[in-house]
Formats: sequence, structure tokens, C-alpha cells
Amino acid sequence: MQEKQSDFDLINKYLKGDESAFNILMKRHQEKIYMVTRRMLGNHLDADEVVQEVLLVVYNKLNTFKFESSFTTWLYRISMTRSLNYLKKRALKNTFSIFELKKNKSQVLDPLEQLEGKEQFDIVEKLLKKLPPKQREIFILKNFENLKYEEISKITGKSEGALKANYFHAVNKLKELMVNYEK
Amino acid sequence: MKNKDLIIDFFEGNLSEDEQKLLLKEIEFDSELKKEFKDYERLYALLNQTKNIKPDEDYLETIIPKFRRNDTKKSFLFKPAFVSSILLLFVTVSIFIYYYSVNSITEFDVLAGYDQINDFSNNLEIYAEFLDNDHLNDLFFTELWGNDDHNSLITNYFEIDNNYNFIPETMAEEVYQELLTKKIL
Repeated sequence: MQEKQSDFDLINKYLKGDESAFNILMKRHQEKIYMVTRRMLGNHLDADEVVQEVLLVVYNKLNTFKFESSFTTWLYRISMTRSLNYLKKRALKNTFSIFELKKNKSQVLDPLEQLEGKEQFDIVEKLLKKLPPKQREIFILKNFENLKYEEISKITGKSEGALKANYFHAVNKLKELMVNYEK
Repeated sequence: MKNKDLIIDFFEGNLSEDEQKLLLKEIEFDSELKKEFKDYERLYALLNQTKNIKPDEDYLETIIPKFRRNDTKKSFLFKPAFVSSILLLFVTVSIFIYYYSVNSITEFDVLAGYDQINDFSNNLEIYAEFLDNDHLNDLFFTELWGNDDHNSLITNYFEIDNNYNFIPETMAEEVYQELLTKKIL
């Protein structure tokens, strides 16, 4: 049985011209990219667009990867940066074309639609949307991705102290939002 | 505030066993804190329920193929080399068209004037500077031996070149006679 290749092996293969190595690498991480962007953006249509953007960035910039941090950390950084940029763009877009966006979203099939726990997922998605984007980013990485503050610090560039304070703020705010939502 | 942080630490698993016991004991005697604790408990239960949710496999299967389709288009259209080539081509063509249009106006006008002598005669002095001696020579003789009465036009030729340098010496006598015949001189 063939031994599972590490991320670094696959990156090296891709950099030597093996396109299939890129496919294997991204297939390994695509679920993670999708869930992170989905939680950041709050809907499938936008998450799908950002996932494609992330793949394109990885494809074009993998030659700049320095093998100093883990590939996952690098991937989280790209996914989060792209999501935050997308949120800014979307805020601007929504101002001008609210009706058009709503129409498009209703036509797309959500890959989480048929899954158990979708109802709870929708509630959490609504609550998360009300957090400021930067706080949401920290909360998602800590709570859903189970990363340590040290790792989140490498992704966001913030100090561990600031991250911890932000995370506690986010939990407190979510608790308040949930209580209000239940009323 | 401190108790809120302790409750969060409790649910995050950051408290030791003793710290947990202490907090739970405190909650028993504080109804306000107990309510807070229950709220956080519900929040963490909700979050935990959605932690391991996974997208449909059918969707995940489409991500890479979709990227490969898009990448082929984007890599061609958005490559800096491609974009700069298009820009360079556009600038070159624009400069060529501009230069050609500015310069070609006079050339076309001169040629048109050469073919349509009446129109040409009206602007003879302007066109003359673009003509070499041979052309001026041809035009002069065409006019001089032509059937039409172009006396004023012929006078114009002399105004262009007061030294009559465009008339070859061998033709001087012949030209002189013709000018007398036509009563120009």
C-alpha cells in the first residue's frame, strides 16, 4: 500500500511540474477551506466563490511558500485574507444591488442543506454574521478549527494576549445574541 | 466580569479540577451567576452541535474540476504578459494611426491637386512646397500647352518661383514664345 504523501512532498512535486500533486493537495484541504470561508461569509454562494479564489492564489503563489510554517497555517492565512477582502467588497456591492444578489442566492443548491444539524448551523451562521469580521475570524479559528492562540497569531499577526481578549469578547457577544435570538 | 471569564474558561476546558469544583460551588449560591452559566452552557451546546458538520461530498467533488476550468480561462486572460502585449499593440496602433493621419493629409491633398488641376490651382502656393521641381515642371507645361485658359494659374507659377528655376534652359525659348502667344507676357 502506498504511503500517504506529506503536504511538503506534494508541494515539491507540484513545483517540479506535477499538476496532479496540486489536485491531491487541494483535495486534502478543500473541506477545511470551504468550512472556514462558509462560516466567515455566511452563505454558500459567496463561500464557493472565495474557495475558487483561494485555489487560484495557492496555484499561483505556491512557489513563494517557504516551508517554515505548516501548509495549513499558510492556507488559513490565504482563506481568511480572501474572506475579509470579500466581505469588504460585498458590503460595497450590497449597497448597489441588493435585489440582484438575493435572486442569485435563491437559485443555488446549498451543500449543507440536507445534512443533520442544518437548523442549528443556520442559527450559528446568523449569530456569527453579527460579529465584527476580525472577531469572527478569531472565533472561527479558535472554536471551530481548534487552533491554539500561538497558531492563530501566525495567521492573523496579532499577539496572543490580544487574541485571547478578542475571543472572550466574541463568546460574550455570541451569548448575548443567542439569548436575544431565543426571546 | 471575572466570573464570566471563568465560566468561558470552564467550557473551554482551561480550568483544573479544583478550579472547576470551586466555580460550580459558587454558582450554587448565586442565582445570577447560575443563570449566566446556563446561558453559556446552551451556547457551547449549540456550537458543539455544528462543529463537525461537513459539506455534501457531491459538492466537494466539483471544486477542483471547476477550478481547473476557470484556471484555463483566467491564466490566459489575466497573465501580465498577455495584458501588456495587448496594451503595447494598442499604443503602437494608436501612434501609427495618429502619425499617418497627420502626415498623409498633405500627401493626399497634393496628389489630388495633381489630378484635379482646377482644385489644385486654388491652393497652388500651399501645395507647391510639397512638390519637387519635376512635378512643378510637369504642371506648368500641362497648363501652358493646354487648351483651357489658365492664364492666371500660369502667372501663379512665376509667383512661386520668381527666378523661373523650374523651367529648363533648353525649353526657355519655347516657353517664351508660348507665353507671348497666349498674351501672358
